Amino acid sequence: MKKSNYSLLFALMMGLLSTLTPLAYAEVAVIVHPSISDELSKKYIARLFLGKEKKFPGGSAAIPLYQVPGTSARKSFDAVILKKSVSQIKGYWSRLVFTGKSVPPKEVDGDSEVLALIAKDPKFIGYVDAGSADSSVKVLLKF
Amino acid sequence: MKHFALKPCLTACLFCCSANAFADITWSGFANIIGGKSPGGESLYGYDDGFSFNEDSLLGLQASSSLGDGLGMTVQVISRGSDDWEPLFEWAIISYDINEDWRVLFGRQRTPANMFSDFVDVGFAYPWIQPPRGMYSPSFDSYDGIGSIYNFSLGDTDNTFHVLFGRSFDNPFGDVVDNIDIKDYAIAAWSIEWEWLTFRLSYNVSELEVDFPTVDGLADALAAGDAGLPDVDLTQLAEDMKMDGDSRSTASVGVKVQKDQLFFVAEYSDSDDGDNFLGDSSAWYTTLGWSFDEVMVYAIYGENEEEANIDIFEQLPTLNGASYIVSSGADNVYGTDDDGLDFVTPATAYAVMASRNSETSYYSLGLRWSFHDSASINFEYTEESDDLNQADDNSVLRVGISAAF
Repeated sequence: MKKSNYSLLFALMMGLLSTLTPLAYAEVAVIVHPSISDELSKKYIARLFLGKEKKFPGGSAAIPLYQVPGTSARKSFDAVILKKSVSQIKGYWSRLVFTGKSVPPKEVDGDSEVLALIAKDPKFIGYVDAGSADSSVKVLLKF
Repeated sequence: MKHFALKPCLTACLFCCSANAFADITWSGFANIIGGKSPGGESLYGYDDGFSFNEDSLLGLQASSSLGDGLGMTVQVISRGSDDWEPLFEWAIISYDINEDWRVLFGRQRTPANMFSDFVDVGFAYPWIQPPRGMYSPSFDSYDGIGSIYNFSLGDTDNTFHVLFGRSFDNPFGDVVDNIDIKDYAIAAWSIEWEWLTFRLSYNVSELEVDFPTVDGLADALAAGDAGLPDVDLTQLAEDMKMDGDSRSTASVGVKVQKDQLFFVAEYSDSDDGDNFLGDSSAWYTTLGWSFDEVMVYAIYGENEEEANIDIFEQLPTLNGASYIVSSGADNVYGTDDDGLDFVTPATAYAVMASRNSETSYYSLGLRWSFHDSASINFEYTEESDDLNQADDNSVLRVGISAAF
């Protein structure tokens, strides 16, 4: 085949491969205070963030920290762990908030705020861009 | 009246007493701005052939505060277009968390009668413009009393057991009814959720007292007018017509499926309203919706039946073969007394009671577009037909924006 045809074929293959892999979300780390020794599945993390579980498996209190809509970590977390859109998540919480069953979950502005809160307090659980996680927190899992 | 003067005082006192409260208040709110028009002039849900926003629009504001040690306070104020936007306390509760799975509520709170009852006013929380009117009336949704919400797991399922004991004086029929007192209202509701499937059961009982001048006056006249009917005692019949302390019970069952693009709900409710003017009633509906990204298209179909309480007339004997409930005009000796004065005949009472018979069905077709994280817009057409009397169908076309923060 001619060189230009190889290039074209290569481009087509790359194009095809990119449609087969999932949409590229930023790599995200779910983090907790270093003193937490529990291991959590993705399903359990989703349940914590939807208020269906309120404790770590070991029994200590667990309060989820959401990031405000729009951050890259939030987009990844909503799509991969919660599998809901921002609108659906708001609808879900409004059913709990406006019936006196719950208060809305805590929302913070971005990675640095999440890190600051978690480093100080073992009852929080949050998520940040994988690259932002430092030694002040413990990474439970990455996705 | 929907609100109590006591509640704002209670609210103010508690907010003042807790010095930390002001630092800890969480504000949330919701709005439904809904406009509609009954095309062709056959009005439905209060709309007519002019475009109007007042019937269903509302704004809600909620303040929640944690008072520490498991205690919390929530107040919710709603202004409705149909009430000239007068803000009223719909919710005013003090909550206490016995543990993280068990919350007790004291004060004015919503009854969990059906699947969407708890949040019936929050348009953003469900895909239609409103939960189907045939099952969800805009009234009798709040009671003053004590509630308990308990969450627990059974295997892979999440369960909620919600009970409420309270009372309501809510009177949405102020122009024809003087007073409504729903006493000793007790309800238990259980919902079980497994991944995408929810199943729900509820049962409630109450004692109903309604001062309804038209019916009460008719009943009293009937009991008093037995001067012309010496062998017949109409006092029992009169008592059976009135709504004074009658026991009432309602059972409801519902199922919901929310999986990927599919949304499906079916609910059925049956009320035994006791021996009185109200009679028994039942309602059911089903809805199917399909989502394409931020747009969901949906359809609703439902039926309502009210059964007039006319069995009570069977206690009347006949006279000379003529039934008391049939009026044969001027010659009906049971229509006038010896002085030629008319008094209420059982036939009149029968006609009023029988007017409660009703069979209606309705359908809605609509679309919801979640155009924003916190707001959605609905377009919905609803048509209701009177299946008993074959009168013209009533319809309404509504457009609504619902938002929550």
